[in-house]
Amino acid sequence: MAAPVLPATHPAPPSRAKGGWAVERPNASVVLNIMLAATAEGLLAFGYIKATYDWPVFLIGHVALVGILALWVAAVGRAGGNAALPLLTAIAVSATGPIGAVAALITLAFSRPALEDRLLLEAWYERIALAVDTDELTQLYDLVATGRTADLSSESPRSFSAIVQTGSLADRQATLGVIARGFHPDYLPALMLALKSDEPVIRVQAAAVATRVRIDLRRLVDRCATSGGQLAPGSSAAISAANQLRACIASGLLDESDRIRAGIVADRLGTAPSRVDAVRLRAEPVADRLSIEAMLLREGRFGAFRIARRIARISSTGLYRVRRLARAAAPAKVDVTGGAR
Amino acid sequence: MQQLATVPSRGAPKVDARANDAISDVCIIVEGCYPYVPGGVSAWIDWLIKTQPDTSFSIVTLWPRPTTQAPRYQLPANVMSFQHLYLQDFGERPVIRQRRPADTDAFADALAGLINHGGAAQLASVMATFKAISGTVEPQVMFNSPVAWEIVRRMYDATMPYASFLDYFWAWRALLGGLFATLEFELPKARVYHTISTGYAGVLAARAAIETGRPAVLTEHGIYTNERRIELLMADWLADTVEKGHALHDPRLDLRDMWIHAFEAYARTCYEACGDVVTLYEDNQRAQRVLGATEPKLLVIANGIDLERFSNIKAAGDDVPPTMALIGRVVPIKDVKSFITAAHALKQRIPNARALILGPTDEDPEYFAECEQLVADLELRATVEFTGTVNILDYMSRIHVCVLTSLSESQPLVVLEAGAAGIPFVATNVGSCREIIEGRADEQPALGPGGIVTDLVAPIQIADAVAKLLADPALRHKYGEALRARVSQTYTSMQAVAAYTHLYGRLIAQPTSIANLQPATL
Repeated sequence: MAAPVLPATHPAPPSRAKGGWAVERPNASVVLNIMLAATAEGLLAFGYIKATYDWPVFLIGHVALVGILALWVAAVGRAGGNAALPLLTAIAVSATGPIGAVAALITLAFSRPALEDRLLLEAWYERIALAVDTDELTQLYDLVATGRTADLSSESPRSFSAIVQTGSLADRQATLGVIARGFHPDYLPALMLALKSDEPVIRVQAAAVATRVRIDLRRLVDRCATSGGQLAPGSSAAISAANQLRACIASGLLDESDRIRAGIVADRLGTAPSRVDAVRLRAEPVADRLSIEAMLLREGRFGAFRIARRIARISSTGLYRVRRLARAAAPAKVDVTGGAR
Repeated sequence: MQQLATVPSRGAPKVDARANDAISDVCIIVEGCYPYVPGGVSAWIDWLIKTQPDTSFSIVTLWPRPTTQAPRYQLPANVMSFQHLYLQDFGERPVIRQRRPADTDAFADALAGLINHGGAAQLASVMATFKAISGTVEPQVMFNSPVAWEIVRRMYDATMPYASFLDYFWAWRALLGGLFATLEFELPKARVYHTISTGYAGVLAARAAIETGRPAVLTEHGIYTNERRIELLMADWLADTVEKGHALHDPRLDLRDMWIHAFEAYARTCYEACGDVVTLYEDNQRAQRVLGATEPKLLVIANGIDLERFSNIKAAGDDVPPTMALIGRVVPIKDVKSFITAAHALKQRIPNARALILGPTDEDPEYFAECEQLVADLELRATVEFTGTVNILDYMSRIHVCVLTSLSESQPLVVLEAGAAGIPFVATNVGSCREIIEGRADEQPALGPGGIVTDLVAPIQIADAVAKLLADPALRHKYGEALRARVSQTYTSMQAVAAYTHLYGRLIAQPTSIANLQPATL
């Protein structure tokens, strides 16, 4: 049976005080046994009062009945059942005979279905003891119910580099914490500024972040070197990887051997734009195309940029024709002409 | 949670139990180092005790839990008692039929005030309410008893009712466990309480000052709170339970904030309660001021070295190849890879240059292997040499320039030692390196630079600086002599000893005064 869903924020165990002093409602066999015990004690008492037999016989009968009840308690316990009511009955009967048996019967009326509470309590305890994982649905429920989701009305984050240069000490430290916990090569310029900060506290923290980030950088270079062979040079993925590698190289945080390796891989992946052909560029999503164009501008390759823009413009009309013309003196590797009709 | 010296822990230095009731002159409170971790602060404490032979000491060392580690320092003869305070040894289980105090709310509120705001008055409130509860529940079992449960629930409601209770509960246990241990610890009797950091050690010193009326003093080598903040801001083991994205000013307090606030609050408490706040160099005081240390308390006592050891070392001449050396352990914090990369750049300009790395290589074998691989990749096997642990005196006459590429330091002794030997230094801008190499702004007379300070993780800058010194013997000599003069003037062991003798003398003679701290209003 699945554990009941319990909000992670529940600070207290589920209440057990709903019905006063609660005993779990017993099953039919327990009720029957208590009724039998009450009947037996009643008959014993009746016989003694009517002088059918003397007190030793009554006592032997009573002791025998208590013994049977004790065996019953032990059997329930061994079976892993709830022995609370059988034990209560055994104690009550042994102490007060038929009166105790009647009291046990009365207790039945006060018992309540405690199974659900018990499961809830167990689930609560397991959660508190971190013995179980919370499923994603519960986690999401918790986040929404307790107002811990992202605040969409808050202001947009500022540039990390700007914060590192002009932010308060606390903001600069918090920014470096974010860089450390969720590293991305785009954060490297901010980290490099922090390493040169006038504030000793910031320099020390930036150095600690740099130590940690270096491991991420090395992994990134390894990953690019491994997967780079599978990327088509000039594709948006290859250019993105090349840009990340260049950011790593510029940071100065790479070991010299990794720096050299990263340079080779970045050159191989990033040299392709000059060979961009119309068909592939046309197939690129808009965001990737913009990324390629931005890189061409950054590198001052305006010829290739113009060609890329032209291809994009032609593609956007939906009706176009691409022809390759043999131009003996043309130095351009990509030569595209055409027009919309 | 604590263990008294009468029952020394496994491997702990044994101290004569008869001395425990005596009053020592100075009780040193230290967290996480002496006498189990060699070097750094531990070495400094050993030096301090040995150089104050007329002062009696007791020592309280804060450690996470009972340890089998062997102590690395023999306790000097003037140490009267040695006690452990275990921060993460979470007490005993409550016994059945444990009595429960009628009201725990005041204690919970005082604790919330202390870990959120700090201050001596807040600590006084915590101490008063803790004492009231201790009459009903034994302190040793309180942390595992229903009392603690009631407290955590109330603090949760008061501080982070929207947070995940589970995460809060475990964070609370980890954070408050140390505080409970600090509150219930039986203080040794002393005339002065000297803590070597803020944090829990600082709280214990503050408690001692409030409780006994005796003066407390703090000596910070690095800024403990800042180190904790850096660690906590970067920690992966701390769950972010509120989705803040990249927002820096989200008002919702999260567990990471709670931890950071707590250590800042502990620092504030310590700075308020201590009469003197000492550090090794001026830059540290900026952080201390930010955290609440007031100007009249601030004091700089720099570490010093024994000049005699280095007095006979001759400067390296032209008979040995141009040599730079890094003196230190081969560990990431020393950024040895930047040194190797600098050696690579230096070799392009001075082909016969040599680069020595003098220090143990066994502390981080993985990092050492990476460094060796880098040396191989850059074809520097003929240039770079890892010597392992050596006596640096044997090497100093063969070194033209000493280099420190560390990412973090407080006051590195190697800079002082090189200076005492007249060797110019190239160091990253960490700790007090700039202060030692270039001198304080108010230095009289101004001695000039003793080397060159570079940015962190800047191997090319380092190579440029070293090349400049190697190429110009006159400049090298000038810088070396300036550094030697500065070390002789400011950084001698005798000066540091005299400063502490004077400080202890003043504090020991100070009359006892129980501060009339009004419990803080929440």
